[in-house]
Amino acid sequence: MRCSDRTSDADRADRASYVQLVLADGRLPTGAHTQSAGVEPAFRAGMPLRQVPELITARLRTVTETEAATAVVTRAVWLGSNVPARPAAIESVDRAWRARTPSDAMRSSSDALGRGYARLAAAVWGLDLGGRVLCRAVVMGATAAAAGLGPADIARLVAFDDVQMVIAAALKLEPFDPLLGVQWSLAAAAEVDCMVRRISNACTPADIPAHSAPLLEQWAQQHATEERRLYRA
Amino acid sequence: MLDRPVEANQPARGRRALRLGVAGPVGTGKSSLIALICAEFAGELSIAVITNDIYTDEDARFLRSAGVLAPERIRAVETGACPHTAIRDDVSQNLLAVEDLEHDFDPLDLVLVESGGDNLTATFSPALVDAQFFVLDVAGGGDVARKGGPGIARADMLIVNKTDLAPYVGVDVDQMVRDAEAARDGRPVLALSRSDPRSVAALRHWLSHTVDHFRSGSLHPQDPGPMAPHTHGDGTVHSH
Ligand SMILES: Nc1nc2c(ncn2[C@@H]2O[C@H](COP(=O)(O)OP(=O)(O)O)[C@@H](O)[C@H]2O)c(=O)[nH]1
Ligand SMILES: [Mg+2]
Repeated sequence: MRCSDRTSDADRADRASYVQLVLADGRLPTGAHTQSAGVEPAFRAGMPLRQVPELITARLRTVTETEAATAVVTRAVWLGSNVPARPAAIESVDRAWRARTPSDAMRSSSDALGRGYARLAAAVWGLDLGGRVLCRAVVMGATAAAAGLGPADIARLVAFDDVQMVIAAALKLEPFDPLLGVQWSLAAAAEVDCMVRRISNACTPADIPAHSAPLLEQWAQQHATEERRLYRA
Repeated sequence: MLDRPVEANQPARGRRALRLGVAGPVGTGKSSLIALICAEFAGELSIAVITNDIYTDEDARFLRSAGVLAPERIRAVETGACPHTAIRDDVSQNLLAVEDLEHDFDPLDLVLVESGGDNLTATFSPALVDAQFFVLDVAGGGDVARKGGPGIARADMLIVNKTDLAPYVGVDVDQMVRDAEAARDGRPVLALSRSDPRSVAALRHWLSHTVDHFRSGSLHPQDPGPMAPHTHGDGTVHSH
């Protein structure tokens, strides 16, 4: 039997989990190394290093949940639309995310990542998003559809990316033991699971939660005009 | 999984701008070289510049203040403390910036991309640039060219910069150039000083020729390659 002939459900699940690992690798070339997921703005505003786990939790309950739900809904909308209708259908999801993301600094950094991700998905899966600039969560959702990932897979990927981005950037910005960063990442798992359960069934733009995170938003806004920053956002 | 071969989704080479990378350690004169090129080719080529600063947008500011190019044609890309990654392993944000400039100032002839000046091992990916300079300077020491590295060995052009300083730092420029040539298998080396008109003319000549070469479709990006495999104290051998 050739490896590529395997088509059972279990094989498909194995394949999806491998794809998820590839997409979760911090070396994925989408430009994410230019972003700190809000931790550099937080440090600039005086947040101490020991509060990084709380920042991660706060993000998972607010902006990251909104992003993950956006990705889940995009995936559902993509798979539920006729091929020619897909670009317009996901644009409505993109608008829903924008309406829930009042910080233009956050929107523009997400757009930059979305463009990088769209380049990857176009090259690897032939994903055609109609040439529009879409936020990262929407591009990830459409990629999930193209790559055979399920709703919980893509929600967990969005969450994991966020957690790891915070920790990786914190390591570059503040002195601490990288092993502690791994512990923080693992400690976030329960919070990630809760969040994934809350939003995995979302299927229309109206299902995307609109959490407000005024402090994170204010920090993001301040960062956009900061001097001597390492990260774009 | 792959439905079709992966190919760079770029306009056909020769129809977009020539993308030229400028790599080399911090302080060797990359920004100054870019300013020199902008001044030399003003009115002749339509140029835009991208800088990859490590910690600031200092390079972009320097170039804007040099007054050699309209400020909006100079854009800075943040590198998240990874200037190496931004020009080699993950060029996506740089490519987007290049494409934005090509779109906003269409038609552009030349986009210069300055690296964040990482170290001797940082070189540009052929997915980002069509050709690249590697810049050393005499003040960094006459033996740097002998130390080698992918940029020194295989960049399209190696510049030995600031030759006017050679007498003050005790460097024999001819010897440094010979060492560089020996490390480069015949690839070109240019001893440059912005205050030496003959060397500036040679730079101008090389670049005009490269632009022509690119337009005719016969320039193919060469990858200087990654770090050579090397050994660590504990005996492990790897090639990063
Ligand atoms: N003497 C001399 N100095 C130069 C020359 N080119 C650049 N410099 C100086 O070298 C320093 C570093 O130049 P810069 O372009 O900022 O280097 P970069 O860090 O590689 O971009 C500046 O003080 C420049 O004025 C040159 O040809 N001769
Ligand atoms: Mg510079």
